[in-house]
Amino acid sequence: MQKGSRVLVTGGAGFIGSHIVDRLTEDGVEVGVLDNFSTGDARNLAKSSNRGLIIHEADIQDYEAVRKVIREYKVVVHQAALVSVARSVEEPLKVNGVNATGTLNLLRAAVEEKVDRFVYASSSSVYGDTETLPKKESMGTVPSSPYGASKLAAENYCRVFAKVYGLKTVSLRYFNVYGPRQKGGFYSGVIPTFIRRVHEGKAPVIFGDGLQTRDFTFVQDVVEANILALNGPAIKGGEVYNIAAGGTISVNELALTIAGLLGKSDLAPEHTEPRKGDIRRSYADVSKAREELGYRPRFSLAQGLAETISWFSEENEREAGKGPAIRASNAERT
Amino acid sequence: MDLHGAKALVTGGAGFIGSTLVDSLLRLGCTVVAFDNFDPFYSGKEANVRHNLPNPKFSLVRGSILDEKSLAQVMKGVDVVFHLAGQAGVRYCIENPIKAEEVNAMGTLHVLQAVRKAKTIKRMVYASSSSIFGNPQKPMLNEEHPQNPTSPYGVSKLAGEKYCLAFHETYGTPVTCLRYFSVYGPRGRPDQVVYSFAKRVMAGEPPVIYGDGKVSRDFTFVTDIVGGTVLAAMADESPGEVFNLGYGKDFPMEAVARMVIRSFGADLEPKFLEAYKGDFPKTLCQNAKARSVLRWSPQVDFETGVAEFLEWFKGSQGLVQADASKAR
Repeated sequence: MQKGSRVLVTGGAGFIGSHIVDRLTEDGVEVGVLDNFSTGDARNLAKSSNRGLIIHEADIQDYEAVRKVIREYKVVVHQAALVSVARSVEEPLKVNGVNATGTLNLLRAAVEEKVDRFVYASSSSVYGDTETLPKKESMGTVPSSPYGASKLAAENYCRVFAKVYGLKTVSLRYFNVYGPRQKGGFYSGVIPTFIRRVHEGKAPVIFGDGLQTRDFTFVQDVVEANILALNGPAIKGGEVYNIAAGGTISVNELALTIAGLLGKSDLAPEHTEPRKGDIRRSYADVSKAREELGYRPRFSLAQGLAETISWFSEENEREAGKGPAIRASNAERT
Repeated sequence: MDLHGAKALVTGGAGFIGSTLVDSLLRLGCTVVAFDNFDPFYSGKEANVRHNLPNPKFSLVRGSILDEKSLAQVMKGVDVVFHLAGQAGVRYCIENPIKAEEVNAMGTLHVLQAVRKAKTIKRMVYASSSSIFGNPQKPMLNEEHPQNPTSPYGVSKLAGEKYCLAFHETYGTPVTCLRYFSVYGPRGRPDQVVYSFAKRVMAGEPPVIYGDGKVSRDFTFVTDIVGGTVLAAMADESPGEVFNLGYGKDFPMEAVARMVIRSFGADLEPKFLEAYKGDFPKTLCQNAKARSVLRWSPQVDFETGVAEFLEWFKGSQGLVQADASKAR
């Protein structure tokens, strides 16, 4: 990224987007946020709002609006999406509209307005259930949910736009990102959902037998990957990288870990029906990102969970005014 | 499933492959609904279905796959859906990527949703394309070959395919994907290579080749494709599966151009223009899976197929042009 380049972060008011925004404004970069605030939250931008942040309220499905906004920027970091396997099972058309058509709108506008670099937030869900682990970029992609199919379509558009129109795109396949500002609930991440349940003294609810594994990645490592992709000099365009912690844990173990960190080891998880579209095993090989981008994940799951729990605790105090705060038990933290 | 007596819906049923499939299904004893929006991408499609209009087992419905209501309407009582509607044309889609996405990805999702909601549908077949592969990494393309499309068209067709498979996985939708390899034959589209060569040569102009002429395709005759499509609907093992449908022999563009020139007895040399972006060097189909699972066996070699195409082409020219001028 050239010095002085203005960066547009789509979905910048969302969970991951807002962390990227914070990092960029902290580094003194001029940043704009494009968000329709459907799932994004202005409160996530509190830190950056007094650093000259520009906010464009627009929908990526509106090509003309998108083009007008992009005109002002040289670099696009595209995080906007409907991020939910479960939601895609219920509303596949809507999810494709945002994730595939929306990305295509941005790519077209980026070509028209001569954007220098376009970083796309792809997803590990493009792989589906692979026979071998860890998952490598060279493997086939057979997404098992409409969500995965929509993210793959957008990623393929990024690749083709590099080849056909010369746009410098980079796709980062995120593996189960978690951290502060992530919302919980049926449509969102398992970690905030577990933390909230355990904090409330309720047993975490696991979909299926809990033996499904995930490669949970702390949001700050994802932010770092985006910074590297923005600055990486060797980007030819069209590249795809796994971005993950590069570890693996079952959802059962995760539930026990969170209960332990919150000092509630006695809360045994409950099991319910497996969800449609969920994959079985996920674990990333990050050697390509390490070799080509210099990416090094720095947060272990224990560290990341501790940070996440302490954020929840602060949030809770802020929201409730009083009420019991969530605290990670110190014994488990080290 | 048994197709005799079944009610079949063919989206894109007035198009090149769709209308040929309609003819075949009627011969097999199906009741057939052809659903087509007669998109102005190219004209003359009325001629593809006109001969079936008096047949009481045939009906033609004008409508778009992007229109939820007419899709639901047209799927009433249908047993099997052949989804052949699509935005064709690799080069056209480079100029119009949103159209490709809208018709091929979003349109396929609409069809999948409608199939899911319709109670009577037992099978669905989706017409995918060999262009989902992009640059071949091995001499022959089998079903597992990496899919790295090089054009917006290829991406949009692949998206349609991935949605079919995700629907099979998630909701159990009984859908089969077929990757058609460079289909040619009577009722072909003007943007297709054999057609465009023939058109130029007939007008006394040299056929235009993009690139150096070594680019090769596994040309597959339309009746072979239709045969494979029918077999896919019949086979019990096909839902959730992908099959490559290609003849299994590739021809370089220069050889194709010379073949067409020769067949017209013309004294012309092909003209070479710069390769277009998004093109890829070769397709050659490994069709063993379709042969063993579907019992598919392509019959028409390229020379025979081109001769058959040219016979149709020469006869059709007056008609197509008349329709085109009417449209203007």
